[in-house]
Amino acid sequence: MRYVLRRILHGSLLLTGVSVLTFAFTQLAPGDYYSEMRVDPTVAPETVDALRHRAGLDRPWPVRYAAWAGSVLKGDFGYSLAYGEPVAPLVRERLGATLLLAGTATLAAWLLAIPLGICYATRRGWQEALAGAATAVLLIIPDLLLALVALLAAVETRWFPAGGMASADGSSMGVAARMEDVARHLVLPAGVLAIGMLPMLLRHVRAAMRDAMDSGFARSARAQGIPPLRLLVRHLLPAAANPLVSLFGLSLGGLLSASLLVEVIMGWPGLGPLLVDAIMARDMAVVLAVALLAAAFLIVGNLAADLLLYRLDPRIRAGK
Amino acid sequence: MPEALVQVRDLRVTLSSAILDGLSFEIAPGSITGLCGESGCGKTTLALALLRLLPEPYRVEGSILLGGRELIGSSEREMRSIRGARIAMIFQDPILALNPVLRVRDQVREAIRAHGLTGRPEEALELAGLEPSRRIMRAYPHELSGGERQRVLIAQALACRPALVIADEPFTALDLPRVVELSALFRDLMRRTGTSFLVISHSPGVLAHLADSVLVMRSGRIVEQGPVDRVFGAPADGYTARLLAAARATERAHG
Amino acid sequence: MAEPFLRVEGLTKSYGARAALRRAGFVLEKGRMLGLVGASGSGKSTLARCLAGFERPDEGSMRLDGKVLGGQAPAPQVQLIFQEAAASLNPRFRAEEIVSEPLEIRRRGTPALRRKMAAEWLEMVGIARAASAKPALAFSGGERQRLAIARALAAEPQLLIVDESLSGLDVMLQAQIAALLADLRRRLDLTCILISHDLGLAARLADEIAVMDSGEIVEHAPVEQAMGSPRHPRTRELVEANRLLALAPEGAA
Repeated sequence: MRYVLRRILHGSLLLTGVSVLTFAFTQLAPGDYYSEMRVDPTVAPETVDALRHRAGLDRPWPVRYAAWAGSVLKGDFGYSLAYGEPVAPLVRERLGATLLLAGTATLAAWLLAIPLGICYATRRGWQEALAGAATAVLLIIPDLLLALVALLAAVETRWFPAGGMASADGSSMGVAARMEDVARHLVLPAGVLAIGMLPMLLRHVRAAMRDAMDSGFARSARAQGIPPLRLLVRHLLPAAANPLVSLFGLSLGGLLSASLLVEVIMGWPGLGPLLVDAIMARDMAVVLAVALLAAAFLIVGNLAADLLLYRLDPRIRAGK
Repeated sequence: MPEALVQVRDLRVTLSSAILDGLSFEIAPGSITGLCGESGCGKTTLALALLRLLPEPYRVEGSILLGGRELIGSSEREMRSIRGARIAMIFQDPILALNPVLRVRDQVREAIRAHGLTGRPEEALELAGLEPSRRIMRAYPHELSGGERQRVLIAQALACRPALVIADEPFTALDLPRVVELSALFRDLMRRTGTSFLVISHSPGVLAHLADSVLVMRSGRIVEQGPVDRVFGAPADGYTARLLAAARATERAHG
Repeated sequence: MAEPFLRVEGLTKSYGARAALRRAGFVLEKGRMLGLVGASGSGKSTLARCLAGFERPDEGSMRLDGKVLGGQAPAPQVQLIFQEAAASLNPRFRAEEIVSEPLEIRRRGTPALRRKMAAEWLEMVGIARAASAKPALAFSGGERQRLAIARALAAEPQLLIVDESLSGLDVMLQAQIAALLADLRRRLDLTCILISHDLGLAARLADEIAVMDSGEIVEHAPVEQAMGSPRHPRTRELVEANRLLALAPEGAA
């Protein structure tokens, strides 16, 4: 328990650091939200200055940071200049979409990686080489390319919608129909994301299984005449689980960041496009909120991985 | 003379070259046979060959008869019914041979269940000289002392009451009084259950104390075999004599 | 009475709740070899590490040739050879590099002179000059043991500690390395401590035997006395076990 509290403390410090750094980086970028407007000849400079003053953008940045930090601690994440609404509900809405996509993709990737990884680990000879080559090819293909190919396929075959999360006439459908609609929109982006994650996971599952298979206790178990299936399930998998559990926690941690590219390219209305637009527009409050959220996810994911490991591996429970 | 438990004729194991080159010997029921030789002479390979645990690239030829039944050429399924149940093995280094995420009672129980038997793990532990207390039964391997771990390995080997137990260098890390204890345990088990032991050790002194007969190996061949008193008392082969001379050069029994 | 060459007094060390050394003490004269025996966990290795400067004792003192030991990082006048000595060598380093390293660290002579000295040490442990340019991984396990010994000797230690280095070896190799140690000891008049769980081996090589139990030295006597009329129950237990496991003398049936 003390351990968890300590980690939460570290996490908070880390988040503070992330916010300061992000803030500092955004200050480095020239201009602010109203810079575009300043270039527009139809708008008077006085108007721009007034707008800036109203948004508090003319104060020195440590002051602005302090003000922002203060309001965040009270739960108020500020106001999006671009959308004209409070940040928190905006982010929350997009967060849901991102979690749906990233969560589905991660689950799919893991569900595929485990049996495939086990197969990969247990093959030898040409089958092993083939699996290795396939994994390498998948690893090399950039997500960008996969996403574009998926979009192309969607347009050509019309089996799946090309982009977006819901059809335009979504509001007129019943709940079940709407869910089915979202699901159909989910298939391609989740598929692309999952395929992107798969090779790394496969490699890790294979490595963990191989370690277990080559170990002394596996040899002992074979010498006891334990049949292969039982050996796999009751002896090898539990021992191979450890590094995979850590990895799973890290997967959770990376949920927000993983889907950014796919969301932007395939038009999935998650945090990705929101963040990209906010950066381009210098909509600071949104950028900060999303960055913080991603960092928080990462920290929680790491903590979850460590806690799970602690629970599952008796050696760690004894050691520390 | 009672029929041999294990009869090996002309056993050859090759990888890229010959690792075992035409071994022939017998193991009598209810006996302790020692297997002695320098590191790398093929002792562990022989043990693995008897259990047909050598993986694919190794080629195994010759004849291994277990109670008259030929093991070479048996299917993997048939071998699985023999491993653990008729021939069991205690590997070197208990910490590596035990599954780190399974409790003792589960590990020993696995050895029993794998053969569809219904013994109690407690019995196997008692046979191995380890009191099956709650602490021990629930323990993970890293929570046990070195000696306790070794006893768990022995319990796993004995779980299905095999006819032959192969022990690969069980004495290497042990203090001398523990070696004497462990030897006494093996002899006691042999007397009580009729189990035969094939004990691999590079130390002739230990085998002289423990075994009835001994096989001396060198570079994949058996250079001498026979009753231990005869082989170690009056070795016929020059290599055996050199081995014994080396052992005597590093020991001293008296003041 | 003259101060003994090595004096260890009241050495105490705990690791958390576990007491590894409990007021351990002994003396050893120059040129003598002490066999330090005892069960695993009795504190033998901890004592060795304290002497060599790898650990600091919580209490107690160690004096070698009148000078206080311990405190600073590994003391060069005490050399320690570990179990798995072969693994303590960097496999990519050449034999002559490995052996001349202690000389280099102490900046003895010129590179040419150091190479010459290294070659001499190698020869003394039975490794041919021609092999001195080979990397450690090209040597066999037994040869690497010799390399480790040569490296230790090149530092010209006043005290050589051999910590279970012979324990993992098979019988032939053990005999070779034991013979080498005996020979080197004679030629160089080394003061040695041989740590072993094998009483027979220690008795064969050493002049005196010290028995450790639970962090203390419970008996310390000349070999003949320790083996012939052991006093402490631990010693008796070891002597008896050793006797049971020794080979019968040649020719006996």
